[in-house]
Amino acid sequence: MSDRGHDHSHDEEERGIALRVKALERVLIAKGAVNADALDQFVDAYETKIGPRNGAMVVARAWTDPAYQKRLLEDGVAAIGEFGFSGIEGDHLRVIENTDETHNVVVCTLCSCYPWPVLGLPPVWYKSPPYRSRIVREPRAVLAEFGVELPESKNIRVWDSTADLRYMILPQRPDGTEDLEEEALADLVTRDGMIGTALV
Amino acid sequence: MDGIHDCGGMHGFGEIEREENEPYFHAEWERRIFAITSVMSFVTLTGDDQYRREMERMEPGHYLRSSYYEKWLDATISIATEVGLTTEDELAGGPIGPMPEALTGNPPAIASEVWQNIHAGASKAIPDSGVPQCFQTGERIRTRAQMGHEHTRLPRYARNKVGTIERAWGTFVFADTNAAENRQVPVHVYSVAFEATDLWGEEASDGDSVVLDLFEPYLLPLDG
Repeated sequence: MSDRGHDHSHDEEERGIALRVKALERVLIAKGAVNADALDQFVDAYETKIGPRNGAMVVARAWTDPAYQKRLLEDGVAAIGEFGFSGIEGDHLRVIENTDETHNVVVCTLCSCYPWPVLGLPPVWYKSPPYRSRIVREPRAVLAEFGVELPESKNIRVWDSTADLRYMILPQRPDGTEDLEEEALADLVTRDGMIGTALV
Repeated sequence: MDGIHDCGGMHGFGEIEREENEPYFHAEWERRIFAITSVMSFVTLTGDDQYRREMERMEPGHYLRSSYYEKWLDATISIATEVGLTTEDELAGGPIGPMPEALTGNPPAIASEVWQNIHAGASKAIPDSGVPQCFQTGERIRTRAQMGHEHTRLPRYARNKVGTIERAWGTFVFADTNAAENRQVPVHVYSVAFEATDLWGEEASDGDSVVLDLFEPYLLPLDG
């Protein structure tokens, strides 16, 4: 099949899916099961408000305030709640600290569990079988593909989100950032750094 | 259920493809089904265990070919159909019937309360259930070899393996019975650490580990 042919059938399939979503929305609105304004509001929250900037603020606070870092590692829900971040897919948040001895990385091999209140909705690769199948089995090779080269002496711990807990990684604070304020530190923190597939 | 979704440790899925500056949604219909699924649950009172059950029932080839939000669409239509919120005829443009009697008491989400709804979350913790805790931190356990043909959160790669209880989290709704029978049974959840070499043999590095959160019915005493 030519690329053009493939794209064409893909487009048709997409159109079919889009029409089916529209049909479902029409039925549910007519029955009063959902209302259109609530749908719009939901999309807006997760497309424009809830994202990895939340997690980055938490990380920056932990880097600058040892008492906060201690609270964060002991009770993720309460410490993250201090920022007003809570709720769906984050009722039981746990923050895991990267150290000189251990690098940590998060996955959900069975589906796509991810800490929404601090990282927002997950990227496609996180939800895809290639990442889910490989990271538990060959984490060192996968991390190298992501550009994270770890010394043999450093252990890797993979956190597979199989029940109600949701995980966020607290990356190590980069050298040479001693003079930076919280806000500037937060700018350094990436989504992948908090999944564990990048260093900060 | 030994389905295609349970892919931890499998070979052959190819490269991890990443997109620079990836948007949260790749099409308008993805936005809509994301919101429909989330908002509809206020009326159906179904949760993630039911959605996962439906996605796991997809034909394996279709599961792999379909995008993430296509799986949401399939699962949401299945659940809406199951509770009488839609029919194929209605989806095809036929006359739309009334809300099923059994659901009329569940108020739908409204826009002004969406943020409250998000913050309220959907915890399945059952504090103070009084259910005795069978395992203690530091104890070694063996996971069960099989969990039957229904929905389970014990992945294949971690079955019949020896691990160590690192932390007990109290009782939560057991996903397996919730998905199968909509029955909310409180069971203890533990973080259990496995040596990577115990899971993958010599190809793993000494010192590496994998931690899973496991429901107590998945665990057996090591000498049991």
